[in-house]
Amino acid sequence: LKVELPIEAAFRLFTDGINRWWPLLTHSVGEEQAETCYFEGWVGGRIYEVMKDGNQAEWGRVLVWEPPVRVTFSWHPGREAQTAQQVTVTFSEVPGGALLDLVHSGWETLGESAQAIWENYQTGWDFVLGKYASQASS
Amino acid sequence: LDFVAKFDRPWRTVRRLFERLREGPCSVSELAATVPVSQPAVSQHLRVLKEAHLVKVEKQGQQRIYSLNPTGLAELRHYVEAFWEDALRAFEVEAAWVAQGAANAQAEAASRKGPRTEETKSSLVKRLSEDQAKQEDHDE
Repeated sequence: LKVELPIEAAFRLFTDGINRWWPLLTHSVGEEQAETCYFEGWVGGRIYEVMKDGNQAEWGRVLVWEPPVRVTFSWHPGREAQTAQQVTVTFSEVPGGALLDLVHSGWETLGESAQAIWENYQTGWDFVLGKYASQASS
Repeated sequence: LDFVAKFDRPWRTVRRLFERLREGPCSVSELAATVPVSQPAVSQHLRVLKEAHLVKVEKQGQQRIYSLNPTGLAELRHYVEAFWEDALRAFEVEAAWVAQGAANAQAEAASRKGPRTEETKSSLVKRLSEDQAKQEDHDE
């Protein structure tokens, strides 16, 4: 995914600015009860939503914090932390903006384990992991 | 690093359980032999995986035999794909919105009277969708 922002601004919008763009209504534990969400910018920082009644739901924790190029976080929204997968988002500088690459790596491992499924869905998975990269490089 | 290890360890266990199950169906005791955690801990992982429809269990005599559940794995994959695609789409829209705001501010500073390129958020979403459709045509 390519965005027309300097790499620092893109990284900041993705993390500190998550409440500006995250689709809370459809992508949250509380759905219509979800009010806002936060992304704490340090190792061990929490990524969580706050609901209208003040309750919080943790989505994950920051594992690697290397602004403005890389952030890795555990990911377990609505689930126990021990079932967490990992998401790594990397940013790189390209002419006219920044390139974002997202890898949900826990799932990848599950996919590789179930070889038949992996093969069936290879095309679909390429879409998610490769589409944005190919878009920006074309 | 402690933090990484703390979160990584349970996941590594699950991963090894999956790797064992990929080789074929097996019992809890066989699964427990492949990881450095207790059998009750393995049972708990399996219970979570079963509730998530990622593994299934069959009774064979006295034993419970676990295997991967292809249906649940496919469902999860679909869900994850759609989930991040939608989220990143929202990010793309906001980034374009911010970029445009910055460009407008710059243009305004350069010429106070100059015409501004106004674009509403909904027309921005529409334009981005059209760009994406074009890109998909190009890909095919």
